[in-house]
Amino acid sequence: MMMRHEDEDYGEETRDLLEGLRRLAGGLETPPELRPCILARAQELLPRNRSRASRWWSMLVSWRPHPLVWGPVVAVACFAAGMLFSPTQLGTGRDSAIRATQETAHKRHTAAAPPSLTKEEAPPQPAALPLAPQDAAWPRPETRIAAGRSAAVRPPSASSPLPVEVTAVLPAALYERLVQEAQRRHQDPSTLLHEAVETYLRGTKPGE
Amino acid sequence: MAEKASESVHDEVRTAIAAGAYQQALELLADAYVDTVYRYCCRMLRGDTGRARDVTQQVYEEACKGIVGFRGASSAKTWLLAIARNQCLKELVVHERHSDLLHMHRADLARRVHAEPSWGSEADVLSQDGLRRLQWALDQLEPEERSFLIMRFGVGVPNELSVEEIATILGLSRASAYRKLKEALARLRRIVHDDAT
Repeated sequence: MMMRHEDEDYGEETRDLLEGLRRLAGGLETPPELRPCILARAQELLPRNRSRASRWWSMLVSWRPHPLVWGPVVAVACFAAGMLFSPTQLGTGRDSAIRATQETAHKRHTAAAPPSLTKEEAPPQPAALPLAPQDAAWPRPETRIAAGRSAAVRPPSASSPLPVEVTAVLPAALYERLVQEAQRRHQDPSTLLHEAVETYLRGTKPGE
Repeated sequence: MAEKASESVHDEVRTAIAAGAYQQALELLADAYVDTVYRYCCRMLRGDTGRARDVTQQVYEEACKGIVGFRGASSAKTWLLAIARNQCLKELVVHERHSDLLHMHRADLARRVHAEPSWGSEADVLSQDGLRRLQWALDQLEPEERSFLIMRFGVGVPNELSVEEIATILGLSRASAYRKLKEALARLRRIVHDDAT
C-alpha cells in the first residue's frame, strides 16, 4: 500500500500518519453527478473549431520532445531547401556576379584582340605606345593615351601588316605647331607623325 | 504502474489536443483525474464537500480555457493539480475573508471538546477516531503545507504526485520540495502528538 520513492525517507514514526492520510483520501467518494456536470460545462466553454495553422503548430510542438523524429526531418528539409534555393542556382549570389563580370571582360578582350595573334607572335611589351598611321579598313580599337603619360597596350606583332590606329591627346600648342608644319610642307599631319615615329625608332637602339 | 498509466493518459490527452479534439481531451482528463482533483479540493477546503464540488468544477472550467495553450511540457496531472491548488488557495482566501473567525474557533473548540478520548498511542491513528483527529490536525496546517501533504499522500494512491511533480507545480527544486514536505509532515505529527497528550 505504501508508495515510496527510493530516496524518500520520512521515518518509521510517520508510517501510520502517511497510511492515515491515504485512508482519508480513500474514504472520499466523488459525487456521481460531478463528471457529467463538468462535461456539460466543457461543451459550452471549449473552442469549436481550430485553424489549420494552429493544428500544425500543435503537431510540431508535440514532436518537440522527440528529437529523433524531428531531427532527420529538419535535416532533410534544410538539405532540400539548400539544393533548391542555393545562390549559385539562382544566379543572384556574389560569386555568380563576379563570374559574370569576368566572363564579360573575357569576351570583350577576345573581341578586341586581333584573331591572328598567337603566343609565339606576341612581341615584348613596350613601355610606351608609339603612334601609328591609321587605316580605315581595320576596326578601330578605342585607345586614348593621355599626353605625357605612358600606357601599356598590347599592340599587334611587328611583322603583322595590319595597321593600328592610335588616338593621342596632344597639347593645343603642340597640335598647332604640327598643323603649321604640315601646311608648310603641304603634307597631311598624320604623315608627319608617321615620319616622326620612324625617325624616333631609327634613332633608338632596341632594348633602350 | 500508476506512473505508466499517468504517462499514457498524458500522451492520449496531448494527441487529442494536437488533433483539435478538445472535448475528447477533456473527457480523458475528467475520467482519469476527477477523483484526484475532488479529493485534493475536499481536503484543502477542510472537508467541505459542497465547496469542493464547486471548486472541482471551476478547475475543469479553467482547464477548458487553457487547454488550447497546453503544450504538454508538464504532465496533464501536474497541470490539473496546479490549477486545483490555485483555485483552492483562492477559495480559502475568499472564504476566510468573509467568515467569522470567532465562529471558526468555536467550532474547532467544540469539535475537540466533544471528540472521543485522545489517542493513547500513535497506533490509534488508523482507528475511526484517529482518522477523524488526523483530518482535524491536517486542517490546522497552513494551506501551503496542507497542499504539500495532500498532493503527496492525500489524493488516492494511483494518482499521488511525486516530489518531482510537486516541485514542478510550486516552481521549486526537488530538494527544497522534499524538505518542505518533511517539515509539513513533522508539523502534522506535532499537532497530532500535542492533541494526543
